Amino acid sequence: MAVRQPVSAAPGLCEAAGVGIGWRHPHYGDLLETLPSLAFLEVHSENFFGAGGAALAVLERGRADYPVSLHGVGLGLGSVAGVDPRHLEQLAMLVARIEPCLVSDHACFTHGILPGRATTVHAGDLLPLPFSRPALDVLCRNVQVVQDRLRRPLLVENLSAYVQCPGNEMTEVEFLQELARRSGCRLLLDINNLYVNARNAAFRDELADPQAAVRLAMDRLDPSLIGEIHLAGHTDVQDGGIHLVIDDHGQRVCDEVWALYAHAREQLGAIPTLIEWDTEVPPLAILLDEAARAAAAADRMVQTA
Amino acid sequence: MSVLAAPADTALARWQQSLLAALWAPTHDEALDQLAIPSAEHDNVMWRGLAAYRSHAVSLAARSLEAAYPVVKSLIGEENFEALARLLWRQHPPQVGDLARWGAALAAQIEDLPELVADLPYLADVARVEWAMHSMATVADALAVPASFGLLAHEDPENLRLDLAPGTACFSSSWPVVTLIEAHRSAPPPQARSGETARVWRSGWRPRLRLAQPGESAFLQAVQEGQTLGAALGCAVDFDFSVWLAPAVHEGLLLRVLSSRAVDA
Repeated sequence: MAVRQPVSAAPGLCEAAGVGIGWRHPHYGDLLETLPSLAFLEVHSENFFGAGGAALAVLERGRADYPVSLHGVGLGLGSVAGVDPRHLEQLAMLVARIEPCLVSDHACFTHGILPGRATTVHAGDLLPLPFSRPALDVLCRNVQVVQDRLRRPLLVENLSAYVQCPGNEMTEVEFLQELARRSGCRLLLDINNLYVNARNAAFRDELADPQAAVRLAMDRLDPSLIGEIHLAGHTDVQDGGIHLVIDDHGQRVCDEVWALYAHAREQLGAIPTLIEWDTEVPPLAILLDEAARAAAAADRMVQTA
Repeated sequence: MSVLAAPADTALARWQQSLLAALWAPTHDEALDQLAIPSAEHDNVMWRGLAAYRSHAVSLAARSLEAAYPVVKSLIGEENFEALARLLWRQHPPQVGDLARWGAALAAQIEDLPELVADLPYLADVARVEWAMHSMATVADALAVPASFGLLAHEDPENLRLDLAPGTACFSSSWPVVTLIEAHRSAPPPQARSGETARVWRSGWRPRLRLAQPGESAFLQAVQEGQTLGAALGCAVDFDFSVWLAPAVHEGLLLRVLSSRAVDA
């Protein structure tokens, strides 16, 4: 299979260095009334899978004023069971209707056969894959099925993992870059997810300095493969003396991740950046404030260049 | 459902099966067994990580179900509702990635719980109506064609067919389901009275609920089967079309009248 070159989505391109926000239900009305200056909006594709209804109408109104990025959480691109053709058809209908600037999902599995049951179950969660050749093979095949149907490249996002898969054969960065090179997809770099994984690895005594580890990982990234950056907040939980950092998208972006974002901009240049907030969603103004901070970081880069 | 044959016997396939089995295991110890984590490591971050996935699954199940069944939740209380969501998640797991589509089996699940049926015998019927209203929210839009309503005045009903709003359906219950649902959206619950037939439909984008008229269920079913207005009226002898028509137009239940003569022409 030849390496596929990423092609641009024709309509409503996200501005190269622009900052967008995850547009969630509590802000549907506020955003349409105030139309704040944002480079793009990102929504969860599955929330608009119906053939009609109010949510889809709201999205179409938003699309009239902003480029829209469709971010999936349910394709399960790493599932050995393959991509659900119905899911893909619904996504294809939505893509045709919304003409998004970006279409993305995650390097994870979501569904499969439960032992002792005949039917496939869908976990509704982003479940981790080993960084192995067989996992790459499955991801590449599924990504290609999706790209062939949508006739456009996907962005595939790195995820936060809370259990360690057996059978790693390479680093996460090597794994993701190989996926992009083989399938022609591009990468959605979630800096918070890298940082969450590094902090959890530090709790397991696998590394000493999470921030340094993420910086090193990002330095190995090929800038031409990165199509978008995600920024979000996370939560520290402690249970019987056991620490775990959970990527709940329920806080402001932490200072360490802002510093890593500045570093990423130095390394990777101008890339669409998204502020995500999914748990205990605050007033729109807080998200816009976070977006303004990301835009200011980008501006500083331009000024010092 | 798959476009790829699942290579069931690879290490990757086994990993995916075991993590799914761990998420669906009834207890945390059984979940750990699925992942074959040695007991000496139970107190490490891996143990806590698995717990994070398992608790996310439970809260996701409750959140997804709550969006579809607000009245069932208010009838049984938050704690019982979460337990019901956990049970449904295990007995009838989601099969698709659009979780808004998960939960159709709740009424059947409720009927499998004799204690719940004994306490709240109307709960399964309430669930059926709520699921219909939830499901219709995302079906295809349809616009009314008011100009077509004039056909009712001068065409033979045997030549007419009716287009109804998306999601139109009737549910007959031995319990006052309409009163129960409406009360739980506003005021305290009423005393249970006689049975009611609920009529649900989507008015514009809004799922709506009304007490059906006598004979309306049979009438609407015949209309939806594509029978002519004349034949549908024949199916519902106690149905009063003249009482039905004005609110049906006003509330967006009747969208369009079609004449077979116009089609023939």
